[in-house]
Formats: sequence, structure tokens, C-alpha cells
Amino acid sequence: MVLSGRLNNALEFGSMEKTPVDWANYVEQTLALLEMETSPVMHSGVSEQFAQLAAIAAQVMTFPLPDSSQPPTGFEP
Amino acid sequence: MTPAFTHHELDDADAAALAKAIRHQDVSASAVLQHTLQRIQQADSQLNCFTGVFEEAATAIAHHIDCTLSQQVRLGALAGVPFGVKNLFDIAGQVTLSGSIINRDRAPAAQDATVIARLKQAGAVLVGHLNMDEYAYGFVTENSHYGATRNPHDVACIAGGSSGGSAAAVAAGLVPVSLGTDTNGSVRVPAALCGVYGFKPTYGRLPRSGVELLASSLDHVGFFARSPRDLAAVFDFLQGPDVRDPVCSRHPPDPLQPQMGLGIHGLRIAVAGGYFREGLQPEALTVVDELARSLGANAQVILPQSARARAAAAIITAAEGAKQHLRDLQTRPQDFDPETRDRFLAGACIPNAWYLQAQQLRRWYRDRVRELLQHVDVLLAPTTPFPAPHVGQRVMTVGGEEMTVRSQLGRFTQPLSFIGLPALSVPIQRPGQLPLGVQLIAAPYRESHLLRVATHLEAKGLIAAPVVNLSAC
Repeated sequence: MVLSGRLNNALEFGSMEKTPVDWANYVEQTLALLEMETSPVMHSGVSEQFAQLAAIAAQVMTFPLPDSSQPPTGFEP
Repeated sequence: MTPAFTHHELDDADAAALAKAIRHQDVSASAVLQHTLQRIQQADSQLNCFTGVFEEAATAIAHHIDCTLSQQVRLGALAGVPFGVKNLFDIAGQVTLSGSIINRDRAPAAQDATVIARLKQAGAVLVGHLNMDEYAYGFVTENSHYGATRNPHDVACIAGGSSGGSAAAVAAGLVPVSLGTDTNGSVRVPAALCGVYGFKPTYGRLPRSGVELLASSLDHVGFFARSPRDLAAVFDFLQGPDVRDPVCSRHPPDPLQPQMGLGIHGLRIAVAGGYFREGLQPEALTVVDELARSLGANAQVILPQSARARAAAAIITAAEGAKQHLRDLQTRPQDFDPETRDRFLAGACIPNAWYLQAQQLRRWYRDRVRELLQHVDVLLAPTTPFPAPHVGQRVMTVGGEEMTVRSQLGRFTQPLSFIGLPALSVPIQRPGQLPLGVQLIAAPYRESHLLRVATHLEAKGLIAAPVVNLSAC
């Protein structure tokens, strides 16, 4: 099996280099998926907001939660 | 009616004083209401607290109270006390605006929100609904549809949000009590900026049925008042299970009024350290330390990973808020306040893993803080990092660094509502300067600890919420 250079590199060194994300493109595609009738002007504002959310989310996603952790749920059958 | 109450006394009276005077027929409920309506008419063009006033209905109720009292019939303990509500609470026969123009197309509410019904049962008189950030998604109450609510201490400044109308109305003496909601700080932040008490009890403690939600995982009902005794009285009427609200706690009610006089003896009080002492203007920390000194609270407690807790709260709010309004975002995005619309749309794009990790972090953080609160009864922390900014102000300088006003106002409130802890913002008046707030925080369902400390501090003259003299603005 031939691994791509980046994946091979990641396996070898235990980490994968981050590909920069094109937030504007991601937001545009996701809004289209959600059937949002938004204008290009709105896309600009939403992309800016989403980039801020992504920075905030990084703080959450980089925290090493134990494998046993679960979301709190209030559902009772 | 015995004219034992002057206009000046009516201006300054808290709910307890008004209720007592009405009950003893020192003043009529109708006179109190007329004074209230007059004050609203005089002040609200300047402050923009109210989005609707129910003069006719309130007048009829006040008249009915007076007639009933004249027949020596006992009434509820808040009989004749005027109150207002943030305009996301259902009021029978009224459209629930929730700070939007989109909701104007909805049918009027069929019944009152449970908390409104409970205050009415206690005899309180609903006089109107109050301005807020659209769909409660903000800390400033600069609403593009209904205008900015102004701070009674300085009308060039914001009242804070999202329950800004509710806080400013109490600070200005337009009503002694008002209801709000708090998802990330929307009761405590405006309370601090306007110099009144803002109480957010434990998550699920007060019923949310008939309340338009922002983010169900985090939404709390809260309220504003000008004295600890009013907080206790209102809390005692509002608490208790509600079959209409699946989140409402089954925890037994804990009446606060009998516990008001217990004092602070035996309470272990400490200051929240680390994160809660960073990223704020020096005066916001000074007021915390002054209260701590007076309470003999020397220890500092570190709530671990509070910055991440705040971040997780923001992710949950954005994701759940977007889902709440998805259909309107799809069909009429142009009708949203641009400040909320773009954030909701961004929230709609959040990947599932971010949301779930944020919820998992919520449990992790709750467990750590729960352990700490086995050794501490009440924690002190700043409510906001700075006093009220100007209307339209986008950034504030803190420690030489520029910060975004809209996001930073919730810096110290978000981690606490994230895990549903009861928190009370107590008002610190600073002559010649804008007020600040200090949060008193306790373990879940220990609201009584907060009220005992607040009562003690008020008795020592360290906290107070006098009505603002508007003519001096």
C-alpha cells in the first residue's frame, strides 16, 4: 500500500501537518447544503463570524477529554 | 386611601415596601400603578426600556386589587407590585417579539409564561414588556429594530444585554422587579452595568415554559430587583416544578425568605482566582477584593480550564441558536438584525464534533467545579471586565490591549452558566462613576447561600441599588 507523502509523514512523526482551511468556501458550501438563501454580502459577514467560531472551537477541540467522557443528557425513556 | 406615601417614597420603594404599603392601605394599588405609568412615560423616551405598556389591563387589575382590599379580603404577598418582562416571555393575547420583527407575524400567545402566571398569582401587576437583543443573542441591547436601551446612569452608555430593558427599567425605578433570561450572562451583565441585583438561579430551578429559548442546554430564567429581600420574595414565588417544562428541576423548593436573617456565620467564602482575575480593568477587580476583604475571604480557588469552558459555551449557544431559527434563516434572513443573523448563520455551519466535544467538556468542567464547591460555599468573581461602554462602542482597552466589547462582556459570566451554577450579581455603586457588579456563586441549589451573603453586604452598606436620579443624567 502506497501512502501519500503527508500521511506517511504523519504516521512516521505521530502528527499530521494542518491544511489551511478555506472558511469562506466551507461556509458557502454548508449554507448551500442547508438551503440558505443568502447573498454574497451575507457570506462575507458569516465567514468572518465562522472564522472566529473556529478559533474558539480550537480551544475546545484541543482539550484532551478522557475517552470515557460523555455529553450530559437529560433524556429519560 | 391614606396618602401616607409621597411621590418620592414611591420612587424609591422596593417591591416589599410597596406591597406592605398597599396591603396596609397606606397607598392604593391604583396610585402605585398611575405613578409607575407616569414615570415610564417621562423616562422611557430617553431610556427605551419598554417595547409595550399595558395601561388598560394593568389599570383594571390595580382597581380590582383596591376593591378586594377594601372588602378586607387577603391578597397575594406581592399584590399591587408592578413588574415588567423581557419581551421573550409569553403574555396571553400578545405576540412574543423576542426582540425581532420576524415574530410579529406569529399568533399571539395563548397563555402566560409560567413565571408570569406565578407572579400574577402573587398579586403582582404586569405593566409591559421590555427591550432586548434580538433572540437574546447579545450582551448590549442595541437592537436594530427597536433601538438601543440606554443606561440610566449615563444615557450615552449601553444598559448591557440581552435583558437590557429589564435591567434599566429597574435601575431607573420604572418598575421594582423585572424578569429576564440568562444563557451566558444576559441577566448578570446588564444588572452589573445598570447597578441593580441580577439573579440567575440554578439551571432548571425556575420554569421556562412560555419562554422563547436561545439555547436550551444553557437557558435560565432570572430576574432583577433593587434589594435582597425582593430577590427572596420573587424567587419563592417563582420556584417549583412545572409540568410544562421538561428541564424544570424536580429538586424540592427551598424558600429563601426564612433564611435571609441567618447571616454569614459558617459560610466558607473564597475568591475565584486565575482566569477570573485576568483580562479586566483594575477597578473591576478592586470591587471584588473590597467585598472579599469585608467578608474575610482570603482564599483563592482556581476553576480549571475556565477559558475553554467559556469557549464551549459559545459553541453550544451558536449551534443550538442556529437550529432554533433555522427555518427563518432559510427563508427570510434579511429580516434578522444583521448582528445576530451572521452569527446564527455561522452557528448553522458548526461541525457536529465541535458541538459534541463542547457538551462533553461541559460535563468534565461541571465535575471539577463540583469537587471544588465541596470545600467552598460562596465564590466571588467580577461580573463584567469593565463598566458600561458607550452605545455603538466596538472595542474596549484592557491592560493596553483592545478587546471586542460584545464578546468580552460575558467573559466572567459564561463559564458559570455553562454548568448551571446559581449566581447573583450584586451592585457596587461608585459615586461619580458607572456602577460595577460582583458575582456571588454557589453550588447547585444553594441559592440561600447567595442571599445570606447579599443580605449581609447590604446591611453593611457595601452593596445597594438606589433608583437613579434621571434628571442628573
